Amino acid sequence: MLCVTVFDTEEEAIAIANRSLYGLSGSIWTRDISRALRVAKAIETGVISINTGHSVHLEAPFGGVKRSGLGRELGLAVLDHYSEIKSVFIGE
Amino acid sequence: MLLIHGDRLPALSGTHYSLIDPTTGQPWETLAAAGVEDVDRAVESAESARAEWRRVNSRDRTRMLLTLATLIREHADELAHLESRNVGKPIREAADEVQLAADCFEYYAGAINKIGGQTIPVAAAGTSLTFREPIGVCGLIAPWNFPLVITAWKVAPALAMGNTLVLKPASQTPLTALRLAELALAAGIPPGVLNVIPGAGSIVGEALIRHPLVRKISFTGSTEVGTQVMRLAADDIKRVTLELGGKSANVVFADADLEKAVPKAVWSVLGNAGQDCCARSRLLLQRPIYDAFVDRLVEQFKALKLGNPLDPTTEIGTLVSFAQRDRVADYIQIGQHEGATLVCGGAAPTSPELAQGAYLYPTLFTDVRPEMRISRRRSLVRCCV
Repeated sequence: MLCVTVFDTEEEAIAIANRSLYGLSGSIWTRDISRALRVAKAIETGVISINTGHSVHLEAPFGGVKRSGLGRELGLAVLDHYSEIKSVFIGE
Repeated sequence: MLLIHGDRLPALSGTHYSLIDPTTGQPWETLAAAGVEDVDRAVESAESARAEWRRVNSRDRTRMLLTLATLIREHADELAHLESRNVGKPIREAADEVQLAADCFEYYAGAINKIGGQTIPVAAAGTSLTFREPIGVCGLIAPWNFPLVITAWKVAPALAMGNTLVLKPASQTPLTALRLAELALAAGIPPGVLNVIPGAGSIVGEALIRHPLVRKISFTGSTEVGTQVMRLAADDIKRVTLELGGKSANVVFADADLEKAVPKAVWSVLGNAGQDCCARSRLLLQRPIYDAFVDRLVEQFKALKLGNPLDPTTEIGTLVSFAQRDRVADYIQIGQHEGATLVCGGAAPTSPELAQGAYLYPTLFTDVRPEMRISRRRSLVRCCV
């Protein structure tokens, strides 16, 4: 089910995108690279793709902000979530 | 059957449940339903396997995960068929996902002998260093939308870091997880390192989270259940990883390349029949392209081939269950009541070959205002637990 909403300005698009309790994924389509990066920074999400729908990659961290989750899967990032760090000090 | 310490076992209570074929509504497979006492057995098995798994040296552990990846590829047709049949997912997508699961084991196999601790230049006289150690027994709770892939996302890195596992697949979709655990044994991974116990989330999931020997829970599923997982885990400060729901936005500016953006907008929401936590279910269009974009979307939505998931030409299969279809249908009603415009879809097919299955035509609403419920709420039903 797809819900289509109209917007006029970049600020309005960001505000609508962030009007959600969730923040897992997202995509931005524009040929203006500066705008793409501005919007990618402004959207509250764990994962976002620019000029493609392909946002999940085995080698890159994946996970959500807000009520979309806690921690990260995939990439090397997940290894911290499956291990404990023990700090050891040896005196001279 | 449950898979505990390398053995296929019935549930101690003798309880069974049926899987329902989403294309017919008929039961097609009977499985053992794990209970609390089976959780105890599986966790004790994983606990007892910890020392042995830690003793397997890093090269051998790498080789075992690579062998498992190879076995997944050798059994690709079988796994894809099981997944497609079980989830109602098009066989083409299921086949791709099996390869992704194998890729995942290869990737984390490579990490095993490259990721470790560090030495740190502290001020005090001496040597500061860190050990990277396994957490212990991890409880993994997997969802029904991408059962094998997301199971691989959890199992592969958890094994790579030396943990032992109790996996609870979603009760509707446990078949590929059980097969994966058998292949893991064939790859030389010792009995008890990966145990699989299908069963109800409210019983098995909860018992796993409450179990004092389980040190970590990784859960993928709904936000509602994720909240319960975190609350239950708090009692003994269990580590949690939660991958929960989304209502993601696809923002298209007027200068976008529409030749690419239109088809990607379709597949970023309708892949896996929309049952994807990453589905871009909100499409935000800048006003100058709104009408032209919607026209092309409608054309592409209507051209999608809905059909039996095992047919290689099918693009949209069933939803995972009749309950899930009812839930989406409720949302469609809500959207209409809220004043959004239903442009296409919104109904189940009536043709004789599809009428018995959990099918639903891809649905498109326009004139959606951000405050509407259909724009804010997820349509994925609570799953997993």
